[in-house]
Amino acid sequence: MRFFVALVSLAFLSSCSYNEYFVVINNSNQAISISFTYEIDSTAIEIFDNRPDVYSLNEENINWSDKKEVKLKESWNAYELTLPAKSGLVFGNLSNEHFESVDQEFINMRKFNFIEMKIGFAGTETIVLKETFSDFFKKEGGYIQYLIN
Amino acid sequence: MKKLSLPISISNLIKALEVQSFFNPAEITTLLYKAEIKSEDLKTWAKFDHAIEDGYGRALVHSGDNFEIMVMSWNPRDQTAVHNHGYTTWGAVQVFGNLDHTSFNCQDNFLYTLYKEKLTDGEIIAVNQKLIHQMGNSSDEKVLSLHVYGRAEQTDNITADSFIYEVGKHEIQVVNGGVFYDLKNSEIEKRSSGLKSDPLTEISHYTSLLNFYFKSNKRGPQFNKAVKYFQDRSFESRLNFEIEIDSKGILYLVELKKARKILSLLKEPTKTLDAIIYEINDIEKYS
Repeated sequence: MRFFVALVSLAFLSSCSYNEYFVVINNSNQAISISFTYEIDSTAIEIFDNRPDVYSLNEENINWSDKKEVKLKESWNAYELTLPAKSGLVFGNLSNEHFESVDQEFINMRKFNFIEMKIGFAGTETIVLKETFSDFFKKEGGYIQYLIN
Repeated sequence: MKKLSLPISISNLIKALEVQSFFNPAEITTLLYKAEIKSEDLKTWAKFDHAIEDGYGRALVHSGDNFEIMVMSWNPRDQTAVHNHGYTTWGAVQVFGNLDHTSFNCQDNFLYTLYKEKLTDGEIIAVNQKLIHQMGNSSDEKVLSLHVYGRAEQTDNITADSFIYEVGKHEIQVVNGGVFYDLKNSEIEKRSSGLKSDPLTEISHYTSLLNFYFKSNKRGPQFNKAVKYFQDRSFESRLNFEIEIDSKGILYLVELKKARKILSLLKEPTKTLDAIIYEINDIEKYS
């Protein structure tokens, strides 16, 4: 117990903790549809789960102070949502670790459990698979983002 | 009566098992590897149409003088309760797909989690009299597994007298059939009370119960108990005061996230879990 409390305190006091976020930025003027399928692994810390958040944008960046409510259609290992115009979807994060590639060895039993993301925009559907993830999602500062203009 | 013809790989395995009455873990796993059994060889015994409230499908392939071979069928979200293997003193399990596996120990009526692992296609684990474990399928694929249970002495029903560790009811149940959650009283041979557990095992138990209710679409007294367990605000403070972050610290996060997901799918509030996970997530790197 003492160790746990000490660690919590240490974490809050520490200034060197950081996060990297997996995001889809919809900088266009129309809504896009997103369906996301992820692998369930009950023996790992899944980087992607059923907790996506949507925020408005400040230019092309997430405006963390303006979280939006969106309806989520959810099943065991997938969800669908409509991402409004000028908003960003935060669908995963890494704390205290840098993302390098989908095949990297992640710390603390984390698992890159991305299977497939389908993005419907302007009458076309883009399918992002784990194998093609890095073709679409690019690292920009603390974000691994797919930018749609 | 029409006799079922066995695949060559299974026949060879039976012949090899009949050579001696006891196999140590290395011997039995080597023997199973050498048998080169494929998933297709087990299809005759697949029981994916098992009752939804059954934890998994089970079928007897062969009953020898001192060993049994069984095939278990795992639909997505199927799982066992925490259990041991009755009279079994040696044996092995081979999985044909990905299955979750958690191992426990029980001393002086105190059950605690040893480790969790993901068994992958073709993997074999040894079984002995001391093994207390739980298996489950968290994937979206149907999975088969082959189980060999043996005992040096001739025994009619080797897996009879198995223990189910019912953490929520603080009791050990003795059963002769499937090791499922929420068994009817008529399916329980004996009970002994006083079972205690560590917090991680308790959390895993209630998560498993929620998974069972989600899968079976059943509701009952234990459902409400499991939901309330994770929604109780005192759970947060209890956890903060009870958990010692050790080498298993990260497993708490895994289990709590799993519980949150299932609660969410059951359309139950997750506020308490959200708060705990947010707090633990921040200290991941230390565990």
